Amino acid sequence: MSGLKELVQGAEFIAKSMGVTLKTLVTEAPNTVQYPEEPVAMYPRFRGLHELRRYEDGMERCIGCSLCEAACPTGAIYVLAAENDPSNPVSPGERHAEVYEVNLMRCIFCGDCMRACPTEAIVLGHNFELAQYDRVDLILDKEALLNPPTPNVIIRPDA
Amino acid sequence: MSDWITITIDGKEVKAKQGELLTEAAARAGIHIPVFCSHPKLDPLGACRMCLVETEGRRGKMLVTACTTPVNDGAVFYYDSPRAKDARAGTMELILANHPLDCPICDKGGECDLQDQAMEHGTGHSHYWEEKRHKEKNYPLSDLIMLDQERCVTCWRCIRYLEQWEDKPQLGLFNRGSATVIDKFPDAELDAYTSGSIVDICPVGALTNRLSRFRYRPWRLEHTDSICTHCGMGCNLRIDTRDFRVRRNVARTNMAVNDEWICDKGRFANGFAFSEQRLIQPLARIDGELQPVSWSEALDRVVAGLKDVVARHGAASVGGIGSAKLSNEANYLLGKFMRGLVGTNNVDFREGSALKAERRGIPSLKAAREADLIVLMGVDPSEEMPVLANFLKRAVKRGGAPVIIVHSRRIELTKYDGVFFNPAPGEESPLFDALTKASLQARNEASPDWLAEVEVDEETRKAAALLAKAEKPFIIYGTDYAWGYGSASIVQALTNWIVAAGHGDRLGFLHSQANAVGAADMGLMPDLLPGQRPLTDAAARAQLEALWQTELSAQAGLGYSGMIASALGRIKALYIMGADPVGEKPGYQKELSSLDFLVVQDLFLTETAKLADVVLPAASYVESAGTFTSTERRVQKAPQAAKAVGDSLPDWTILMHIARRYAPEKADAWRTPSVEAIFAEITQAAPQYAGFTWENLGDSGRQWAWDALPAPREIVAYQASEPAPIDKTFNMRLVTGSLLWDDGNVFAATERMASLGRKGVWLHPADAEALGVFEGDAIAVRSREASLELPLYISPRIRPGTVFVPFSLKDAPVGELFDEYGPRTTVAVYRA
Amino acid sequence: MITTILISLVKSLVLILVLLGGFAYLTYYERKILGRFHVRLGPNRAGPFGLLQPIADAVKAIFKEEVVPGHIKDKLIYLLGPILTMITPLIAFAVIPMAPDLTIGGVTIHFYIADANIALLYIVGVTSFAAYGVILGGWSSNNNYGLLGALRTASQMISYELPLGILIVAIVLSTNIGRDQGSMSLVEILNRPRPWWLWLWLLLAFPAFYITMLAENNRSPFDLPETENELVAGYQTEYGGMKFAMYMMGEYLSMIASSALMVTLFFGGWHGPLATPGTWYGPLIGFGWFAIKIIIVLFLYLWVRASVPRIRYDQLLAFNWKVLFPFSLIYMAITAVMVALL
Repeated sequence: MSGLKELVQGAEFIAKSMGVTLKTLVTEAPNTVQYPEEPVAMYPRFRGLHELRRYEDGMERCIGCSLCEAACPTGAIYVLAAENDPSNPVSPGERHAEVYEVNLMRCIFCGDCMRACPTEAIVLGHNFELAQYDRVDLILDKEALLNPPTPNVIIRPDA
Repeated sequence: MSDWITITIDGKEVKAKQGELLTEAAARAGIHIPVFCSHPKLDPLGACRMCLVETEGRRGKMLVTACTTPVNDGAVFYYDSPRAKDARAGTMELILANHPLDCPICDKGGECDLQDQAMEHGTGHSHYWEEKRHKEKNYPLSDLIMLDQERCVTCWRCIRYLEQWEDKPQLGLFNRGSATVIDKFPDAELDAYTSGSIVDICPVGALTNRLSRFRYRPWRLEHTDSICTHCGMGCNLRIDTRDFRVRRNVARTNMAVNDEWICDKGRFANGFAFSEQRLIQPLARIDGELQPVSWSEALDRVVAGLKDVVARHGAASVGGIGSAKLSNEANYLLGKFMRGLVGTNNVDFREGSALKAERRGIPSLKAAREADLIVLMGVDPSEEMPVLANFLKRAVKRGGAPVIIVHSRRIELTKYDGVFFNPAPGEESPLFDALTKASLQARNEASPDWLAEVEVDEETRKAAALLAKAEKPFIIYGTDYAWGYGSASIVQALTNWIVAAGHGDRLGFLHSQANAVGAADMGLMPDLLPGQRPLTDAAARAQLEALWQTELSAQAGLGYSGMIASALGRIKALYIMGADPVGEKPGYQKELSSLDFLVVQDLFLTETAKLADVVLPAASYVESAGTFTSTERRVQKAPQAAKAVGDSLPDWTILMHIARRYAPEKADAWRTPSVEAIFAEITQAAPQYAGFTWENLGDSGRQWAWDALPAPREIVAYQASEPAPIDKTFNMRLVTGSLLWDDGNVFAATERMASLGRKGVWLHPADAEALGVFEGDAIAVRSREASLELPLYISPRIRPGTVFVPFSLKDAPVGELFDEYGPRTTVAVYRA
Repeated sequence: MITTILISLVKSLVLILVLLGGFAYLTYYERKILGRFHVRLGPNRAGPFGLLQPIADAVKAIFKEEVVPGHIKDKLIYLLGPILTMITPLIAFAVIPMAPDLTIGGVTIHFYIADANIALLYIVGVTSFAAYGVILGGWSSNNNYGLLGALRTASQMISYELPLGILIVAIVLSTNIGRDQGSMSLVEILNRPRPWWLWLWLLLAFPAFYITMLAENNRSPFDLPETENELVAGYQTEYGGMKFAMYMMGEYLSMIASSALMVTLFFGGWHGPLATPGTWYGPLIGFGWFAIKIIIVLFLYLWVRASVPRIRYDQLLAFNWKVLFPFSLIYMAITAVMVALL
């Protein structure tokens, strides 16, 4: 008898589950975002493409200290520092980054570089559109980092 | 072992030596007491108070500085006690109170004593919230060193180094209290030749290397233990690279060689390896122009060119010129190729057969530090080997050694007590004859007849007396007396003097090139086989014939200048490796352009290379491995530290390729796979090197024995050379010599250093006044051969009646002036 | 004679084309409906509403490189697998009536290829061949996953054919009710009037019949032959490009054929309002009803797929032998009793 009971119970569960799916089908509108046309909502703390920031006066924040390079667990960052030309400084102080490269093929977007940075120069932005046709384009140079593309996202409130 | 005593640190019994400092005794027991001011190579001072420990004294427990406290038997110390720890934390807090938070942009960050000790001994917080004191930041002390006064912890290490080692107090402390700063003295320059050492010993980032400033972070550097090849001293270096490129050189400790100091040339002049001027691909003369070609084509052209000349004019028409700047392996292979495959004994290098010098170099550098008398003849260690000069100064100041100097200029070391002879060029032999006689008299020995006429004066007697009294004198002569016209007689005369004084086996020659001893050891001289065995030694030839599987000629070849001079005659092809005869004497252009075939293998497109039929790009010693034999016969290895620029290849690889193509039937003998294997072959070819292997050279190298070759024992009569005539026009004697800051190819490639030094002609004030010229004026120096135009410097160090023109000046090679009297000629000097 | 053959040929051709088109858009239908079950849109990029998606998929599959892995020994059998799987549902369709007859100018056109008197037997026989396609493919793949997947499929299909066959026997029996003789012809079964309680009795068998069909078609929750987490892709592991596409076509065409059979047996086939035989519009509307009913039954397949998770293999067989098989026997027995009594 217990077998029959089990059978009935199973049928009941299946019926219930099919009811749920049918209800969903009928009542709920699709959640899909038409992504390239519509922006995607991102949390403020989302870690996307790297950016190098500047001060308000246009000076680069990066001082080429290489602490991000030291903090990077995958060796994705390369920094070569140089002395500032006092008459035409790139950053405040004596030192700036002559070369700053991020290898996106290695980066795991852990954000340790951002945490190590003493001047909050390197930050991970909201851009997640990282695909490229050529591997070389996955190595970001300083030019690319200082002029990041505007990400196709809307920032949603932090939950 | 009787002087071992027992002390107690933190309740633990520790063995120590009587009288040594507590820091040293504790370090042996594994307790590393933090220090800033204390340095094992500097006198104790106790300035920083970082090393405070507690001790039990007569008045109970008290704090003492461990770095100034000698230990006695039974002494009790507490390193880990709460009071000692508290005191050190307090000191650290005070040091940090005004220390800027520069770590991210400080070159010391990552290898900084203050960082490490603040982590270990600091409290992590500060009682001070006031703004930190502001002082001078990025303040250039010199072209080489940058000072940041805010970072300074006033440990005095730099001041003490310059006083105690350089004997040039060029830095001092100014102001009081927390306003104390390190600075130069007013109107004085920091121009000591080993000033870079203060960067190494600075415990914080106050003194930093200006040339490599911001170009590295210590934790990302690859370290290669290597040596310096700028001079014959063979100082030990650590080459720090990143991305396979040299970022900086720092000193490496080798107590037998350089202690832990290197000179500024070795430290800073490393730009040659990655200069824009480097050759990056082989060039060949096609349609009269040097054009880039592939390695394969270049090598084929070299082989075809050499074979063609041998076929038409015989093997004796080919010559090979090596270099005392290149490794043993490169020079050995050039010799092996020329003698073994081409079949000529025309091999030499610039400092080879032309130099009438003691081929064993100097007895040892250690002997310089332990000397009780210093004799310098025609050599200026301050300019040629600054680290050796520091050792000599130390021997004078700490060991009380007097100095006997024979030199055509009043060199820096003449400021110490002793005797100074200042013979004009051409007057050296009579002086040494007088000294010989005086020394013989001092030892109550009879003078040979040919010395009967010589007069002995007071100064010579004084020098002879000093030399007779000395037990372990350090006696060296230099290139000034051993090279060029008349050098044979001068060297014979000075050898006679030293033999007469009974120190013949202590007479050394200070080779100024990194591998001058090694190149001779490799047999790269027309009359010497590997192991410095004479070419006439049939047994040596037989041994090498077996080793090289070839036949060797016993007919002596031509030397360096002989080969170049014969380029107008019987020499038809030259293979020049790492030498630049035209750069040194532009007149050689005539000889070299008349050659049928010229191959130049070098780092740069030198003046000589511009004449070549094939130019082969070589890798510098930084980019290839090799061994070098220093002036004290110390064989040291210089492993590869960086990646070769462009298509350049190590010298030994190029020679291997050429040899295999030149004689395919003997290619098996030229398949040695590595530098290690070539060195193993060298140890078979050169008897002095027997027992050495690449591995057992170790970190500090190995010396071959001083007595492996005979020392002079006899006083030999000789014919003195006639000095160059003085006439109404050519009324000044030319004096040449090396200065540390020159314009040599390798050195000048470090662009930031090009402005260093004073490059021009030098005159005595009296002569300048007579000529009516002033410092900075353009001066023409004219010999019977040519004329040079240079700015004037006036110095009382110059002997009146002489004009000093240094070697290796850009666009003004002093070699141009040489006539039949060579560097000892007479010249006319006038306002240009 | 020639006319008959010609008409049959044309009908077959049209049927095959329609079915292949139907397969293509069934995939679209499935993805779209599943998407909506999952609160998303489904394919919407190729063409308006993603309508060209099946075409894009087809182009992709056609232009894929035809690869036969090197370890496959018997290439003929390897190729036969997908071909058999695809062909069987197509030929099963031959006996299914899709619309009322059309008479034009005295020529009567039937909307079925053949009115075989053993139609049901034919269908059962032909569809059994699908198991061969799977087994041959899985075995010739020379690969553990392929073989295990094929064996599972074989035992699953053969097991579930048992209750299926018994239920079909019951349905055939039921055609005897109120008559002298029964029929296996689907045309006959469809066109015979049945009393309302018989419809109800037949509908009682529908769930069981439907479940066996799910299993026969390897559909979720019985898609054990291709359990990715255990068997990679089961018997399809070594197939790619068009050969893989043919396996897919076989699966989806089976779904359509099964739905058509169920519609014919349980829901009156093309019958519906306005589908009057003999009129000019009857066949059109009849075909419309037939299609709509098929689409509804297919929706059931998708609905189940969106709702029920895949079951374990032992559960699959236990359910068959312990529930479906006894049920179908009892059902057949009662039907037989009904036939004897009425």
